[in-house]
Amino acid sequence: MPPLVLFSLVARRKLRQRSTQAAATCSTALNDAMNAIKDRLVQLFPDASIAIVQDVYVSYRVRPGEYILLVELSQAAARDGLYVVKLGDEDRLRREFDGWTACRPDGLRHDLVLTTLEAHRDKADRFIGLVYADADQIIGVDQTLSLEQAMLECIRFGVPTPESIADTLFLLYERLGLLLYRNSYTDDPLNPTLPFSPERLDRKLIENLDHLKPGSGPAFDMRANANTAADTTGLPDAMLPPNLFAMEVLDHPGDLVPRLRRGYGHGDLHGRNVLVGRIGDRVLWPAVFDYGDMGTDNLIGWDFVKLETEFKVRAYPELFEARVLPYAAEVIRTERDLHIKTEACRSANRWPNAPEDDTPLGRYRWLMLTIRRHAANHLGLYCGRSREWLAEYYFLLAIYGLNGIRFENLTEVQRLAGYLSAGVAAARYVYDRTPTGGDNP
Amino acid sequence: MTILTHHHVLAAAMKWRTSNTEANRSAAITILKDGMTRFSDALALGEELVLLHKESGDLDIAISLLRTLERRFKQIGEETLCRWGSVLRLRANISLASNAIGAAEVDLKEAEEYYARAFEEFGTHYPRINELTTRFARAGLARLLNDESKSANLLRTVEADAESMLADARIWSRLKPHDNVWAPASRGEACLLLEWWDNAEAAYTEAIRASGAEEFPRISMAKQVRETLIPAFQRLGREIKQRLAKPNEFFLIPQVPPQ
Repeated sequence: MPPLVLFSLVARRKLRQRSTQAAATCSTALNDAMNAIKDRLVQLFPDASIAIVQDVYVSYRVRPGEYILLVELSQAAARDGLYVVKLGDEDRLRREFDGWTACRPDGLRHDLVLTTLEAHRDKADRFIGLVYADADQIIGVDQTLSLEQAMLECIRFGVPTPESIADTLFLLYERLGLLLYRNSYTDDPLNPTLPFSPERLDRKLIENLDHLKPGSGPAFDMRANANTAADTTGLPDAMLPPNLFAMEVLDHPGDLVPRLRRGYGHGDLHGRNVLVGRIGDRVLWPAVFDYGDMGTDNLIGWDFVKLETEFKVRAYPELFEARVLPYAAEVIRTERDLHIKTEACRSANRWPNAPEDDTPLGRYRWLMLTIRRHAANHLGLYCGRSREWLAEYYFLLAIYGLNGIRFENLTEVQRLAGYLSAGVAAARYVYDRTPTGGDNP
Repeated sequence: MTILTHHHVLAAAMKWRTSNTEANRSAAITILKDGMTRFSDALALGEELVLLHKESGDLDIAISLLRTLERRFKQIGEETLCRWGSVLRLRANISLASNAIGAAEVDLKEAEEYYARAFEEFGTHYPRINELTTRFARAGLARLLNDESKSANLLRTVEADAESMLADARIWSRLKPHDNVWAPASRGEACLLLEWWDNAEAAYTEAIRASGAEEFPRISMAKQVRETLIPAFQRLGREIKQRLAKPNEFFLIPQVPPQ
């Protein structure tokens, strides 16, 4: 007998939100989505009596037909428990599973951070779903939430405590370092492993630059606001328009691409792909999922700059006032100060152990420095590049920050923050590559 | 490796500020027009072009360009708002020279509003001092029209705001690279409005010293005193005393700069 599939109120509300647009042209959109999920879960868990969809996780880019669900199985013999389940397009599921298979450490059967992945196929060997097997570890605590939500609440209220977020980041990156990043190498642009191509930096780089091409519309407004804000701050040298920087990189890769660490990496590590448990005012036990971009020749730095950038574009609108130019000016100043502080930490080889001040901005700065502290370890210290890593980091921030322009689900000020982050990093990258700034060739 | 940005264009164009000749202004206009084609998203290039047209006396072109910039850029910065203020104030001064008092009053009021908006948004000394000076000029105009009550009211608010401006640490902490010159210049102007002659001279002297060999700031400061403040003081039945009564001498301007 097939399992009875039920949806919690939370799950139904989130599914309704997701299907609102589709419901404008198809009144049964919500029911269709729920039925499609039911069919898949019946196929995935034929031995369970009851499958309850407890929650629907929302990533940054919503793809039609793709769902990441928290599913509780009941009366499923030895399989009773909670699972994170991914449903979606067969090719994407297959690619994710292939990435996981290629990167999965030999002998790994269970891990607290890198949740192991099971593929479920139908009789024709087509992928019907992926199950991240170890969600149980963080269930049963007071609350399960995304790392992004935990970090945003931390900067807003100071709870969860910044120290517990730092501990969580430590666990996350040390574990990923052990399981993935150790399998990496330094790719020298003067003697590259593969010939230079924009896609090896960012699959979407050309598309991003197309969106930023001269012309009118939102891209023009964003570029113009960034320029005006930089000029208004009186720090015009603090920002280099990142679209100009990226185009120059494409024209002169030999002059501008730094040495990059490549190897086994998650590829899509951001705060919504990491779940954490919460007990009182602390968070702990990070669990990573969504291996859609996992690969053996990824940029290791991507796992740091993506987490940083995706978080900061959501944090800045909460930190600074809403009027565009004063907001942008504050973002530029904050980014620049953060880079100067990072350079000081790199030089002293000492990183602050607590926020300098217990304010939202103070907590924000410290969390960013904490991410960079781990980048310093995994891109630098652990591979004998204690100075050079930062030039790579700035370079990747400058390239990654262009991605926001494509996403309509970001607000204008969020997109602007990503662009400014990229621009300030580009300016800093040029600065840091001077002979005294880094140990680049 | 240098990546060409609008800042390079701006730096090349701004050479006219060192030597304000017609030839240099003309060269700068060409550089800026070309630059605005390549870097259409750089408002700063348009702002500099407005200033050049204003300096060349082409007020209609300057105003037309400001309108174009406002249409093209959703967010205009402090400089654009202040350019509006300065162009309208200059037009008011020209109107006054031909006794077109009504037109001057309209332009001065609008100029003050632009400066006030810039100060409200950015909180810096540059729009604030210009807002107060423009209001001071309006007070002079009101007296010219025998509206003593309005004139007195405007003057009262100028004095109160100038005093609070000098005392407001936030205003003086939001400094930009060239504010080693312009911040003391603004302080000097605020002191002048308050008729604190010694303090005004001291602040202006600091600004002159900080400007070094650069001619443009001294010319600008002298022009402000000569063309806006002295006439306003006269309309109010007052006079600027001590050394600032002769701005060309005080600001070391050998002759009246080209208009």
